[in-house]
Amino acid sequence: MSDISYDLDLTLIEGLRELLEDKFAELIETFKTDSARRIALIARAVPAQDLDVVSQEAHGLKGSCRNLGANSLAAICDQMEQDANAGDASQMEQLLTAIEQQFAAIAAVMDDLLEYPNSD
Amino acid sequence: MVTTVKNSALTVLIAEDSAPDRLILESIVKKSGHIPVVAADGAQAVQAFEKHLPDIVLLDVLMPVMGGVEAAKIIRGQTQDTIVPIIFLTSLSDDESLVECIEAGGDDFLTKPYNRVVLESKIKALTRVREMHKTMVRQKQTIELHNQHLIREQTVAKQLYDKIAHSGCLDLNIIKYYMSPQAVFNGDVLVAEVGPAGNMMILLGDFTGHGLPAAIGSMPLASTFYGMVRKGFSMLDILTEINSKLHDILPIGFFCCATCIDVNLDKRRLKVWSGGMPDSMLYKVSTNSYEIIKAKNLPLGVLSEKEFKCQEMRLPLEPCDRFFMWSDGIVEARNEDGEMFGDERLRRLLERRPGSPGLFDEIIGQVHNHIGTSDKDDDISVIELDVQHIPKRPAADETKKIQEGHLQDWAFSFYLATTSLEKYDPLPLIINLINDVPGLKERSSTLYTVLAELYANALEHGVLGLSSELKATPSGFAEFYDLKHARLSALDEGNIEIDLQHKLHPDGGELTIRILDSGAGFDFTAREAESKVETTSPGQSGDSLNFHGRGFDLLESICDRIVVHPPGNCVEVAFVWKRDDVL
Repeated sequence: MSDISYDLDLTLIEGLRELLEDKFAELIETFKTDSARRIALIARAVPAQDLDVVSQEAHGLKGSCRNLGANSLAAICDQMEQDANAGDASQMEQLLTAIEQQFAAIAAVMDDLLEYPNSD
Repeated sequence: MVTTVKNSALTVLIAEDSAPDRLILESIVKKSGHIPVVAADGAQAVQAFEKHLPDIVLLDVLMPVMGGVEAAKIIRGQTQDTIVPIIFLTSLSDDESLVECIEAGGDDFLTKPYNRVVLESKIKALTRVREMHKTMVRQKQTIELHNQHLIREQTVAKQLYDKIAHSGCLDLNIIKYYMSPQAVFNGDVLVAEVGPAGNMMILLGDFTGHGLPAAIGSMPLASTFYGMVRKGFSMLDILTEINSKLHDILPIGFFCCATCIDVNLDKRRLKVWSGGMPDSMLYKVSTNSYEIIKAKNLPLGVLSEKEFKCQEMRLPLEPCDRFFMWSDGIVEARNEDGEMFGDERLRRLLERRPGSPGLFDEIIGQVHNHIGTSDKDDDISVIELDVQHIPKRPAADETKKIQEGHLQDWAFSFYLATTSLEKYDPLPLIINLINDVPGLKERSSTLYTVLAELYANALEHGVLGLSSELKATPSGFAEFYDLKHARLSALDEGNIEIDLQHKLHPDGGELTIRILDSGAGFDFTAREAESKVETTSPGQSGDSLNFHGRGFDLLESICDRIVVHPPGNCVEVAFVWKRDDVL
């Protein structure tokens, strides 16, 4: 998974850690659970060509990603949402795969952040 | 940290369907010292809004069950009087959706990633708007209260004013008057009353300034006017009193322009006093032309009592003459282009059909035509007096009721020493007393004539020793009055005593008037002879020849008994009245 390139804004995440204090871990867990739930919904909707669900869940995931500094993942979600809104299902499979791969990489980094807080 | 913002802690409703985003907003709101209330969709948001009545609402645009736009519309529908700012949470970038958000009642947007500093600033800015709106609503309510209060006060003031100002004889059909509603509260005042001597006085006043302050001065003016006219004071006495009252109470720079007339058709004369008013016009039926009466005095309330000098004009008067007066509102009435109605136009109107009975209505009509719909200078007072004998008015029932329990059987003795004789006129005081007696009030005009005659005799013939022979010729008449003034001012000894006694009879009452003077008395038999001469040839007794004798004939015709006590310096008359007398 090391070959997956992603963009995670660590400064933003450190800001969130300061803001949420003891709830930071809950935030990370909630992000992971909620995102996993949305990705599962998208994974089911893509083969079924249910573009409404795809658009809705991609939109939700995009927002959360932006809030947690996962900018590259947010960009892919945005692409998926726009395609779904335009009724264009041609790229859905590839976009879904990219989302799944990026999410897995980001979730791992986030786990590390929880276990080993920034040494600064 | 939280404590410093505690007193401005707001309840913030957060409606966001993504759990992590919700958590971040909740944390920001808490850290900023506010109280978060969370909802995961639009329907929950509406419920939470009703339950918690938040100060600010954060709404995600795209939410399951109910979107933010719809929720915003419902929330706006419930907050008509108060401002609850709505901030839309969005990652939308297309303008159309932003417009939709604003139209649904949104006040601002917050985009992801959420930023604490940005959200806090937005909350602060919107709170300021909210406070401003609250202040505005509070001030609006205060203004509404003040306005209601003002209207109530004006209503009361108007009632008070109407009671005072319209208690006189303005309802007589020989007086035509028009006062626009605005004129009343811009300080125009019109009062008219009949005096005990059968004369009528009318005063039209125009106070400086506008609104209530201008109208307030009309109260003391009206009450002084009515009080004094009814007691028989002269026009100059009344104006002097009103002037000093207004001088005392009105602030500097406030005064009352006025025209006052005293009409006595019995004496065929009109007295006019005018200060600061436009010219008045007297239409003379004999010449079919107008006499213009200019204001020769300063307005009332300008000069102190000492400085106040009255210049009145005396004009002969005939029945069917017409007197016109107005305040400057009519001359200054403007049309839509700001052009004034003007003196010229008014004069032309008056000259076109001099003295026509329809003139009054024509003036009002023309002025209103001129003003048109501009409606800005509708401050008009016009009065026309048709010079006719004053119709008798039936005594109002309510005056009878008020008088119950007043004077019935009584006696009154009034002693006037030398110093009082020169300038003091005792008649108003006595008429005032008579007005307090049921049955006599309605006859006060007749009694005034009796008293005036008796007092004049006592003073002129008794105390001053003037001979009535002088009055036999017109030139002697003038000489008589010159002599009277000369002797009065040189008087160093003399007095007059007036005694009144009133007894109630089952069907009315009897008033005895006794006047005793310090003079040598007069030759009763000579008077009797003179009287006989007159009564035997009534057809020839023209006024000019018999001025001097008329007094006693008059007394005989009114009174039921006249006794002259020797040596002739004490005259006693009895006046019997019956309840059912036709007045």
